[in-house]
Amino acid sequence: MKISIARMIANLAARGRAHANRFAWWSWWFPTAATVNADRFQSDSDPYPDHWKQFPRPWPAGQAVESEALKSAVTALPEQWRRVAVLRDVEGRSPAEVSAATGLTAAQQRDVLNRARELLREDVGRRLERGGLET
Amino acid sequence: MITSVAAAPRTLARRLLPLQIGVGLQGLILWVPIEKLFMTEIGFDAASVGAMAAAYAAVVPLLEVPSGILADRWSRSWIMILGCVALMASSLLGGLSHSVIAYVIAAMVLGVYFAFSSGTVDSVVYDTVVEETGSNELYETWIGRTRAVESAAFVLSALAGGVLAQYTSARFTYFATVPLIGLAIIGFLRFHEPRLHKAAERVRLRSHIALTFRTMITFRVVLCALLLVAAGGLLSQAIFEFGPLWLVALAAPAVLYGPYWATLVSTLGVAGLVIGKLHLERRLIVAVLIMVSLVTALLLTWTRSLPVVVTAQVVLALVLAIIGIHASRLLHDAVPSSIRAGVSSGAGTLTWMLFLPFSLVFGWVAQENSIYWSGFMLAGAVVVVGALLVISVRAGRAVAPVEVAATAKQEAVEVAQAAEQLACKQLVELVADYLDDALSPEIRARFEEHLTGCDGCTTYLKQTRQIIGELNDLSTGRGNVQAPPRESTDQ
Repeated sequence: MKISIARMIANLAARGRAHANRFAWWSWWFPTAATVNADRFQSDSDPYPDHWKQFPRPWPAGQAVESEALKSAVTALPEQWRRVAVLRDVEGRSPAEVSAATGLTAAQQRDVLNRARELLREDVGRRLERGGLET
Repeated sequence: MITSVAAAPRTLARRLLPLQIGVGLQGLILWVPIEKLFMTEIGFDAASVGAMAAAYAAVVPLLEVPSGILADRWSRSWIMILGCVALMASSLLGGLSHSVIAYVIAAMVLGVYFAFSSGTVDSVVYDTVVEETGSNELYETWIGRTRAVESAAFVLSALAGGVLAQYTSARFTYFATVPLIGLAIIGFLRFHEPRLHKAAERVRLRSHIALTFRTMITFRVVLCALLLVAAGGLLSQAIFEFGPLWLVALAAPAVLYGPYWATLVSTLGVAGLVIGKLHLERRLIVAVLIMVSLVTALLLTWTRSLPVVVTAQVVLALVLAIIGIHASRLLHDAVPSSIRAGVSSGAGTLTWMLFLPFSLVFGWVAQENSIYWSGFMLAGAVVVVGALLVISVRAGRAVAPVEVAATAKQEAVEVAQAAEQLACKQLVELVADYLDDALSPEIRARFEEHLTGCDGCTTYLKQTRQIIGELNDLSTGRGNVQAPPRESTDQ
C-alpha cells in the first residue's frame, strides 16, 4: 500500500510538477539506463535497430592488459561499483557473500557488476588503443 | 516490487538524505502564497502580472540548455547551489523592489533558479540510485520520496508565509526566505555527488524537439495525448499563477493566502491518491470531470463570494491534476520507451510556449475588463481540454498500450522470453547473468544463439572475460586494489 502511494506520488510528481505553476520545470528527465551507452547501437530508423553501429574493436592480439592501467580504471569506478567488482572479480567472492557485504540483492549486485565490467572494458580498451598507436 | 524495496541498501537512503534535506529547505519559499498580494502593493495590475509571468516563462527555456550542459560537464551539486543562489538573489531583489520593473527583474532571476534546479534533482537521484544498486528500478520510489518531501515543504511554507505576512508584512516574507535557502546550500554541499554521468546522459533539447514533432506527425494518438498534456498543463499553470488575483480583487485578508495556497498545492498530492480509484476510460467519469471543471470555471466568471471562489479554484485544480496525470499516462503508453524522454520533454516545452501568449492575453483582458472576464479564458481552455480528453480517451481505447519494461535488463529478459531474437543492445545487459549462470535455459539459448551469429557480441564477451581474468590476476599480485569499506560514502 505504501509503495503504491509512493508510486502514485512519483507519477504525479513527474507530471504534476509541470503543472505546479513556477515550481514546474519544463523539461522532463526520463533517461533510460543501459549498460552500454545507447548511442553505440543503431536507432529505430537504421537497418538493424538495437544492433551495434560499429562492432567493438578487437584488442591488439598478444598485448596484455597492463595491471597498472586496470588498477587506475578500477579506482575510477563509482564506489559501490568498485566495491562489488573488487569483491567479485578480484577477491573471487560468491554472489551471496557480496550480497551480505553490500546489502544488495543477488540480482542487484549482478547488475552493478555488469555495468562495472563494461566501464572497465571500455576504459581498458581506450588505453590499449592509445598504447597501440604509440608503439 | 516489495522485495526490491526491502532490499534497498541502507547506504542509498543515507546518501540521499542530505539531498532530501536540501530539497526540503529549498521548498520553503515563504513569499509564494502572498506574492500576488505584495505585487499589488507595489503597483502591479493584472496586465503587468501577465507580462511578468511571460517574462519568466521566456527565461526558463533559454537557460535550460546551457544549465543542462553545465550540469553534465561540471557538477550537479554546484548547479543546484547556483540555483539556490539565484533563488536567494531573487527573494532579496523581490523584497527590495518598490516598482514593477524591479520586481520583473527579480522574477527573471527566479527563472534562472527554475532553469538550474529543474531537471537536476531528478537526474542526480537517478544516477545515485543506479550507482548504488546497478539499476534504475528504485528510481520511482526515491524520486517519489524526494517529491513528497518537497510537497510537504511547499504546504508548510504556504501556511507559514501567510501567517508571517499577516503579523509582519508581505515584504518581510521575502527576506525571511533568504536564510532558509542558505541552509539548503549546506545540504547540497554535504551531498556526495554521483560520479556516474555517462550511464544515463541527458538527451539534448534539440533532438527532443525534433523527435517529438516527428512522432506527433506520425501518430494521431500521440498528437492528441500531447495536446491534452500541454493544454491541461497550461490551464493548471494559469490557475496557480492567476488564481490569487481573484483573492486580491475580493480584498481577502493576508492570513487567508497561506491556507488557500496550501490547499491549492495539496490538490496535486490528492490527485495522485484519487487517480488510482478512478476509471478514466469510462465515459461517465470523463463526462462528470468535464462538467465539474466547466461549472467551476464558469463560477469564477460571475461569483463575488470569496468561499465560492476558493472552492471553485481548488476543485478545478484538483480535476486538472487528475486529468494531467491521466493524460501523461496516455502519452507514455502511446510511445515506445526509446523516445519517451523526447516526447515528454516536448510536452513540457509546448506548455511553456502556450503559457507565454496565454498569460499576456489573460493579464490584458483582466486589466481592460476585470478578472472575472478573464475567467472566460479559463472556461474556454476547459472546453478545449474536455474535447481533447474525449478524443484521446476514444483513440486510446483502440490502441493497446506499449508494454513498458522498467529497466533495460527487464526489457532484454522480456524479449528473450517472448522467444524473439535478442538484439546486441539487450544481450549486453545479460552478460553478468550469463557468466554467473543465472539465466533460465530458454534465455540462455537465445543468448548463445545470438552469439554464434554476431561477431560484435563475441568480441564483447571475449573482452569482458579478459577483463575478469586480469582482475583475478590482480589479487595474486598482492593486489593494491581493495574493496572500499562500506561506510566511507559520506564525508
